Amino acid sequence: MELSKKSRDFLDDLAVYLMSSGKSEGEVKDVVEELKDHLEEAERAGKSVDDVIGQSPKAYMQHLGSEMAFDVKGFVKIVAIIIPNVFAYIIISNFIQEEMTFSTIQLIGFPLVSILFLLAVSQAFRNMSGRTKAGKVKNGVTYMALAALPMTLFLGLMALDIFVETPTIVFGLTGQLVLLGLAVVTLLVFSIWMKTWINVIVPLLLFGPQSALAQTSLPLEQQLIFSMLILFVGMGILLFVLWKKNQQGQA
Amino acid sequence: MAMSQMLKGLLEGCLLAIIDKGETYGYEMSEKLQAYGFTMVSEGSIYPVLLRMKKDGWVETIQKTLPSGGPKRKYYILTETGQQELLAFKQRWAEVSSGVDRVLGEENEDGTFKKESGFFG
Repeated sequence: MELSKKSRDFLDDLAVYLMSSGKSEGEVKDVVEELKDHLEEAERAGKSVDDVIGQSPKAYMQHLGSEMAFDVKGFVKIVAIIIPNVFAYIIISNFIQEEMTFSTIQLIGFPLVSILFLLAVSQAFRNMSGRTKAGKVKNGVTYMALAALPMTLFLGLMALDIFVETPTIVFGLTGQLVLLGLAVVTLLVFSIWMKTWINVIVPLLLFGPQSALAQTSLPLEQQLIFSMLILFVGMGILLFVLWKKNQQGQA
Repeated sequence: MAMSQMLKGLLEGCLLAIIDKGETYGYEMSEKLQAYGFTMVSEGSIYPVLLRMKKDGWVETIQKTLPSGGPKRKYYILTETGQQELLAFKQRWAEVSSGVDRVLGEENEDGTFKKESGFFG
């Protein structure tokens, strides 16, 4: 017998809550499987997910989570993936804009902003997983705030960089090429490791049109418009393909 | 945490006793608890307790495929530490329950006596 939608939703929310609380993936899978097994038998006996957990889903999730340890190794791993990637994007972008300098503020600020964003994302998902479907508006606001956060933080960082003078590293041509090479290798290595093309496609969309159009004799204004257009259309296609793939995966 | 500390301790002890009777899995444990009349807690509340007991090394789990096929199921068995904890729980419970029984018993007699004296006198 198939599990009811309510039970499936509960299990999904539970997995999101525990993962975003920094519990290890293996442990989360383990406990979700066990509860799935329980809910299947309970539903066969005519009991609902509410009968089984006997309290609000949020309270139950917190209760379970409090008995599971924070997965430090997993957290370090994620941070170790994100920081080199953030720098790879910044290096490529700087290279194209022919501004290969890094101030101390940037060197410290970029990783800091990345970790802050990561923590905000996990906190947001933890909150949303405990929310009932009635909280749709709240969830929408959370998503928007999440999208705006990195932009705001990066802009803040740039402003700080302009107003506060800190020691700056300037790279010569050889240094620039070495950095660029490292950045590209970083993106490729993580793509292979994570078995996803996103880390190759997104930089291509972001930087490809911009640098290709720079070679043409088109006025700068048109270059910007074209590269923006290609970026948006490309991202649209990418999201559509991912969404289709996800649907097939579920069927 | 809706459950009182005392109830949690009792649930812990009862789960140890049930697992001690032979390897078992989550749903079966909750069925047994219900059958014994331990109905003060929801079925799902056994899982946080089981997680903690595993973390503390009182129980171990093994994955077993069902005879009917299908996905694997997680079975619990008692470790040596778990058996010691069960013994300790039984002793604590014997003390507490006899103590409480005596208190309640006396109160009842006292109450009956007072009522009678009131009625007659």
